[in-house]
Amino acid sequence: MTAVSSGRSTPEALLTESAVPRRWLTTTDHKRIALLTGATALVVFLAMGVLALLMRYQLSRPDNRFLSDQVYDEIFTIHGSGMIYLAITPFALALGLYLVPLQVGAPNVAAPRTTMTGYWLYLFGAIAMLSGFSVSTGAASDGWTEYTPLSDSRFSPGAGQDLWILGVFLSTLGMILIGGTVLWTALLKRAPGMTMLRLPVFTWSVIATNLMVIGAFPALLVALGLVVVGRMAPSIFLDNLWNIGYQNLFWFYGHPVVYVMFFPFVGAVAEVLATFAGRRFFGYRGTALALLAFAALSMSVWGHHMFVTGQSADDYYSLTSIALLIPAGVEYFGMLGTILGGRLVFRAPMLFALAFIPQFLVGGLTGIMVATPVLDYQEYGSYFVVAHFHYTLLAGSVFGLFAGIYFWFPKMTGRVLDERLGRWHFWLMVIGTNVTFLPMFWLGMHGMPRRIAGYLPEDGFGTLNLVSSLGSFVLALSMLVFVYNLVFTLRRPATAPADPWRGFTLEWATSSPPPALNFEHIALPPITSYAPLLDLRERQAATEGAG
Amino acid sequence: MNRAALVVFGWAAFNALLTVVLVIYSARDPFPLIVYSSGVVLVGVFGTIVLLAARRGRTELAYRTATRSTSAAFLGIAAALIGLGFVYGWFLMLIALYPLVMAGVLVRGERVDRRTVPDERITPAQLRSGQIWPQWVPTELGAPAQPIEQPRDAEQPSTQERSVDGEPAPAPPARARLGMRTALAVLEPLTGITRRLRGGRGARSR
Repeated sequence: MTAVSSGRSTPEALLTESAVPRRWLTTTDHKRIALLTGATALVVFLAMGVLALLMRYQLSRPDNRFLSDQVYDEIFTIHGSGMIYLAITPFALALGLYLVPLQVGAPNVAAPRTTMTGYWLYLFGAIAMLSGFSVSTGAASDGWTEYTPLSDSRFSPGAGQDLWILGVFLSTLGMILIGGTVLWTALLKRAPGMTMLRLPVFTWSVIATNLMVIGAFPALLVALGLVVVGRMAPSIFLDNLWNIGYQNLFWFYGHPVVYVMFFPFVGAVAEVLATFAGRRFFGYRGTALALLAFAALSMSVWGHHMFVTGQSADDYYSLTSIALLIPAGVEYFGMLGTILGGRLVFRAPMLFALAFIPQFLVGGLTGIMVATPVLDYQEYGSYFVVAHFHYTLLAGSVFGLFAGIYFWFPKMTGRVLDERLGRWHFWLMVIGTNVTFLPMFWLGMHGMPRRIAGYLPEDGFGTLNLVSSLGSFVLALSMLVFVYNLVFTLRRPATAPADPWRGFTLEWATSSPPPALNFEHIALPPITSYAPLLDLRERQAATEGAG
Repeated sequence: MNRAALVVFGWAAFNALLTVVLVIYSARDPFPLIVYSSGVVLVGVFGTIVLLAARRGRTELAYRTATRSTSAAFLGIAAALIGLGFVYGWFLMLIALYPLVMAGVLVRGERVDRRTVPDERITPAQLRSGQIWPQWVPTELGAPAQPIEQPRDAEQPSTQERSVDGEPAPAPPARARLGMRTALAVLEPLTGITRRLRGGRGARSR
């Protein structure tokens, strides 16, 4: 776009006038910031997947000496930390950053420079954490929880541990900035006509997510500050008050972050289900309310991670954890109700969304199990817990993530991902995920502890571990198919129409990819409900029918 | 009260209620209470800022955004250097002053000129007064739009409906009492079932 003859220039013109690399690195366009964040998170996700393969190879047979104990500890620590702090959380928030301004009809995110600062903090945080592998003492090796006193300077000396703290601090601060600006946009920068009860389900899920970010993420910054103090003066952790204090602070962040990692994908699945069922989302208000209640309850359950310390109020945390079933049930009711009444179209996004439903259920229900004290005392620290959270985060969140990627990729790039490769990706991922993580439930119940670099033949864990490891390589193959699909599609010309799926929400009313200020000449269709484009089609059909 | 702020305050209030219940179970251990209350206060403060911003009319769409974010990059570099100062030595914190100063110098220049407008046919005065809004052309997605004169509700601009083809768009849902709204929200799935059985709007659309 060019500057206007009157001497006034448009933001769109100013946004597109510099050279390409600089345009991206100094951008204030929410879509570009989101794509930078999402692409970085995707690269980290694949790198952390490679670390997972190394672990699975190590555990594929008894008494394997492929990795030393110390290196194994570093790998599982960075795998867990990288996935949570640097991959899935940033990707979840990036999806909200890309879509919320579009869905609420805003031309940009509020405070885009603050949002971009969030990206830089996240990027430098990721570099700091991963550079731990390059220092002589190795990367951090105390697990993603970094419990004290294990993480203080007496037991974990070296710069790798410090770099881990710095990396997590910077990336978490970055996520707070991104989450805050997106929440502000959803609450205060809506287009005329976009009332709160006309927000799409995805936007509601992002609102609930970012409320948790605002309320819970600062606790991690305080916890990390405590570890820094402890590394300077380790004697403070001789008093168990601070060790338990650290756990309270950490888990006050650590439980809600799990919800931050799946709420946007629940929203994505809801949008995909509605679009590919050809009908508006079932139980909209109930689901919006359930998302908020779910998020609020998630803030109150952190103590169930601390049952075995003997210093948490078991009854309270067990009660609130079980109460999570109510809003979760309402959400599931909405998703199933949407499918039951619709004409289903089984494209790749829909396949991922459909698989999300039962797989996430397994993760959720086993979560309620381990949030019950008597079962938690039995399963704590075992592979049962590993299986549970991988069903939540990989079989649940990552399937929702891919549903979102396949669904919104045309909008973001102007290109539709190859459908045949998408189906290969889906089926390999379903097989890989379940073959990898289902055996872990049995391993845990038979007593295999998590975070061990090996086991003996007489332990009897060999067969199930071998099956699990084979599954992980199928999972890796599915990721290779996805990466090939991504590269293959990005090399093709951008020919995707504005609305390839007959979507319902405002982002489909603009070009693919959208212009700098989202909607050409800031014009929007009338916003009459949470599915404005469906309303428009219904009105057009009614008019044509009457004519 | 502004509905956006109401959502934030409602969410904080539910958490406050859960904190009160925690007091019953964990009165002798104040640490979890302090942690949880701090989280609730943070959300409450955010809600207050949202409310104040809404009351001051800070709800207009942000077309005058900055066009560059070089200052953000310098700020990020400064933060990383300050953090590395804890790991490798305090001198790095001194180096961090340079990108901080750079960020400070650049931040003002990145702001968009006051004369900048989202559409060349709209004057800044019209945009500020909220007296103009482009018309969307439904037959061509993303097609150029024509600015049309249209008064906007000064008090609640975000609930203002636009008209496309001369016909007034459906009004926003009527206000109901909180109890009734909550009950409706809970019963929505059931009402959806009824609607589907009747073959109404909730049924399949294509």
